[in-house]
Amino acid sequence: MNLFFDLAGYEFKKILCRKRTVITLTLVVLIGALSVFGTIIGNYYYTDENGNEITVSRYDEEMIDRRYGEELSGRVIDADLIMEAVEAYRQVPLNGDRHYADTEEYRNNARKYSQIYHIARRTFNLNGVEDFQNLTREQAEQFDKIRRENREYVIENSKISENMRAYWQKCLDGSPKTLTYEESGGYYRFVTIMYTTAMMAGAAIAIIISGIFSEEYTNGADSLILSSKHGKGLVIGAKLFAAFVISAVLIILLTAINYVEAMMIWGTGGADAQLVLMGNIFPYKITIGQSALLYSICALAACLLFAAITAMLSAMLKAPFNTIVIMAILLIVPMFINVPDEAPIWVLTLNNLLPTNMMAFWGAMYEYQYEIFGLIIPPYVFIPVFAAAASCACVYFAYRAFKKHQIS
Amino acid sequence: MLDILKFELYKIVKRKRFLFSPIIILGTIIILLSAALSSAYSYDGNGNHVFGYKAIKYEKARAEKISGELTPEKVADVIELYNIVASDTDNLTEYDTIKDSVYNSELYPYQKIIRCVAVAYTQTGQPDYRIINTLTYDDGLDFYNRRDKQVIDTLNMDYSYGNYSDEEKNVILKFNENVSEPYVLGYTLGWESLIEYAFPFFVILTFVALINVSSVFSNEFQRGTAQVILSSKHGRSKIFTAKIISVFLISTLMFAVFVGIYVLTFAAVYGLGGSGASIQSLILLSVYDLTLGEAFFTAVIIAYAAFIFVIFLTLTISVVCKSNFTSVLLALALYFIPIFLNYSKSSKLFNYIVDLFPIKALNAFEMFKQYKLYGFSDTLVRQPYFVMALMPILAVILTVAAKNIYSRLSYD
Amino acid sequence: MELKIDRVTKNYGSKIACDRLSITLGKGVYGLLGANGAGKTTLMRMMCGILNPTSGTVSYDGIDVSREEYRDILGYLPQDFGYYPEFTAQDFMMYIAALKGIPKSKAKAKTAELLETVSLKNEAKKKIKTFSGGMKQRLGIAQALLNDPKILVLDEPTAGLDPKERVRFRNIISRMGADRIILLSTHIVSDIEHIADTILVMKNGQLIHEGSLDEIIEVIKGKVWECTVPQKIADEFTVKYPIINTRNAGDEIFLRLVCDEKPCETAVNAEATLEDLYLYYFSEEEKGE
Repeated sequence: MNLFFDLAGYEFKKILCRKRTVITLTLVVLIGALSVFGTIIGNYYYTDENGNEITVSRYDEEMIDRRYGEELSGRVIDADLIMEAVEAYRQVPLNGDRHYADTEEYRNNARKYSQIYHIARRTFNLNGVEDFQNLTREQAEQFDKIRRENREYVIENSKISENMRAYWQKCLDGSPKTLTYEESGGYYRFVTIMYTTAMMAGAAIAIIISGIFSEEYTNGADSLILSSKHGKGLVIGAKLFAAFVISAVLIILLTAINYVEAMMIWGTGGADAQLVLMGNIFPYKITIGQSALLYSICALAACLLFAAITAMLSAMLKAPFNTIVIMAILLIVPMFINVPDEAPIWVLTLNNLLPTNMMAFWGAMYEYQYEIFGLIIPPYVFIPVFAAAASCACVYFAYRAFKKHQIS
Repeated sequence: MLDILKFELYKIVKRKRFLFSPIIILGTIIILLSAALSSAYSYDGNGNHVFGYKAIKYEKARAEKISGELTPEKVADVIELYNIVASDTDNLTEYDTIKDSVYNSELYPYQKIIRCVAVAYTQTGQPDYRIINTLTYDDGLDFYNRRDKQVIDTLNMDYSYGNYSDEEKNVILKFNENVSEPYVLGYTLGWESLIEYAFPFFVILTFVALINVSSVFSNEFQRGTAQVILSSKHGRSKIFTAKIISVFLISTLMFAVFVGIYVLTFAAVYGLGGSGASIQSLILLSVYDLTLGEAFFTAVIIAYAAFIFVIFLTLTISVVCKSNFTSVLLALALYFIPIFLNYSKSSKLFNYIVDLFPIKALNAFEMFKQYKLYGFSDTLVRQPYFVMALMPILAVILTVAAKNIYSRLSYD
Repeated sequence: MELKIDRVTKNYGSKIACDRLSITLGKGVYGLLGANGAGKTTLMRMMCGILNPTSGTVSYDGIDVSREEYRDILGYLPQDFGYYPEFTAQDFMMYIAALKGIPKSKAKAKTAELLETVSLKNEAKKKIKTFSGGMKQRLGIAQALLNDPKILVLDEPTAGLDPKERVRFRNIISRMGADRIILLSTHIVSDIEHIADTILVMKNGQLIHEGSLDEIIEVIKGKVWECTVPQKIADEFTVKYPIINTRNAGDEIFLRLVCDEKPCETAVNAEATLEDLYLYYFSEEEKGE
């Protein structure tokens, strides 16, 4: 065992002592740490009633929204709350020269209810503020009923199997009848920024790991390694171990940094809130906090799969150049090819199993589940399992490729 | 020189990755066409949804109903038709909206005109289809004035990153005056699909070309042949020129061939009638006096300019880096990273610079939606033409810089 | 202690790199002699288990080459061996020791000893990328000896070494050859002459001759001639016979050549050397015959 860790230590040294590894890791960690602040840097400008240009910092604006959200936290979204919001919005003039969001009426009164407005807009399928201003109490009292009806409409009209339909109905029946608002800006920001962070981690992993086998071929050390006692066994395991450890540490570190920063700036509230508060999302029976954790696990699994694929290609393709080209294709191409919503469900769900799409929150919480022999598996469970299985397959092929490598 | 050029061409085309390039690009075209077809939809005469390839036939039939000039009378007729349909309570749901089945059978054929009305008559940036309920036949006759007013309102809006200056507004409005009226409508589904999927296609085409070109110089160092080349008679002059010319020829050929295949593939499936339709049929507020066909091919030229810039940037990196791996890594990073740059909410200059990155410039058709002008004081040039001119100039500058670096290279 | 190579063949398409080669090696130093492309490196790679033969087997005392036990007693210095530029010499040796399953404590002592043996003691903590070609080669020799191998395979081990280091290397190998199997290939014929107990001559993938130095040279004993002739005659002889050495001698040309009969009146017999034999065997290839 000691020998294994000794060999692994050398593999770590080989990877981490390279200039490109140091540069890549530094850049990724730096950008990952700073990107959270992207929405709070800079200023927001608007014109007041006297025509003066007012400058406010975006950080202050976010903190105001956070405070308003926290004031509403814990309140059930019922007819009373909705009508409170409607009354506030009714004071906002819409036909003036300025955008309604710049008016004092909005900033001083309606803004604190903006989250309620967005939720109501989604539920009642409103076109804009004007429709919200015209919402009646009778309509507001139908809020929970319409929420349910919206979901039932989707269940009835989606082209899904009966098993999935039953699963959807079960989730709907199991979800709370009322919706309680909780300020969850921290978690929202965390899951939003994690996609970019995970993609960067994936790119960094591809750069760092691409030479793990192929550089032995290109620099001629493969003869020495393969002719040594442990060269066809323990060494390969040590290489793969080093690859996975470095990848895991990188993504866990970045996840932790993003999480801590998001919580510090936008608050830790909303961990126990219902997932549907995050947006137009499938009502899985998990809270926002749980969804963030499950998503983080999916992102970790995706990065480890990335490492496994990179290692496999490195062993098979004999040159780091070829490995990095294919990994770039795998990382970038899915970003540009959008699978339309009308595509068959199997295409949509398969698309979510691409490593880059696994890294998205909306992939982990996707509305379509995976149906295997009649068993319905939510994506946040299937993705890590699939990634683990695919990684094992890649590890096997990497092991075999290097072990069988012929030097001629 | 010709012999050296032949060998350089041979070195590029003989590599395995060059042979794989057509497979990747053709695969991309097939995937994009599949995505386009699976999102295509229309309605048959009874208002039933039709998807995929079958939808094309119905779209062609639909287009025939509105093909031709979009006269104010035509707009007014559509408004009147809409109001007639909306006034019949049998056609409405309990929420007083037109039933889907009625809309799909009676009004969907005129969807394009209805969309134009929504854009022209509602608040800038927030088209609302329900506005038609409030319009009359006479309002319809005022269509082009209302549309021009939207252009003016867009220019006069407050933008957090900075407003249009008076000079910019004057220039844009002048261009707007030159837009031919009435606009021409037609069957444009083929062009719309070509345009919608052009950006991912260009991105991947450029990526594949970049991979092929990234080791043109660095490979000589990696293999050790640089010692021989740099110490030879023509090693610091003709070889460089031959490499540049061979890369240029192969890249241009790749671009031309695969863009041709891309267009022909979509044309074979969708048909490319409607090339004479105005660009305003897709982007009502565009101030470019172009047909869809002209706009698409202008976009292709812009994309080519950005493509060539990327190629020569990659070549320069290849001269500087002495390893294939570092060369391709740096080239990929400089190519792709700008895609993650978001527009600033406070700096107009930043936003204008972001649009000049080649990967952003590959999304060429987007430029026809915008009113961006580049230049200094009196000389203001519209964004598409500025990019078209700038990219090749930058490519030439890079080539000169690369030549300088190459002539001083040492092998250690 | 027996290394058995049994009808080993390696084909690359239609090219035969090794052609049903069979030999049994016991203790001692074996010099593998052959022209470029004779199949020496291919044979060595198959003996080290890094290249699979098309047919045939390689085994040591019944242990097949593919097994870990075989690699445990193997030391190999490849031609153009690879290294890690950022590693120091000591790091590299310790890494190879780990690959060979040598415990750390033992590896440290062995590393120090071997680095001293190859005169790299003062460079132990320097990065390999700063080493000259000869220093890298010495490091390569040192790593091959780390596990006290019973089978030592050295492919062009003295390439890049200066004469002093070559002598030192020969002495190390000679001492070691007493109780292990050492196979080395080189183009520096004098190295083989001085240290090899048995010489193996390879041509076109086949072993064409095997024996001690004296036995090998018997083939051309009495066939090595030296003479000084006019330019015209020298040109004729160059085409007709394998020329070992040629130099200007005033107006005439001094030649040393291999010939079954006396080539000219003034020719005198010279004592045959291994280099003469090499050129005798391989000059036909150079002439394209």
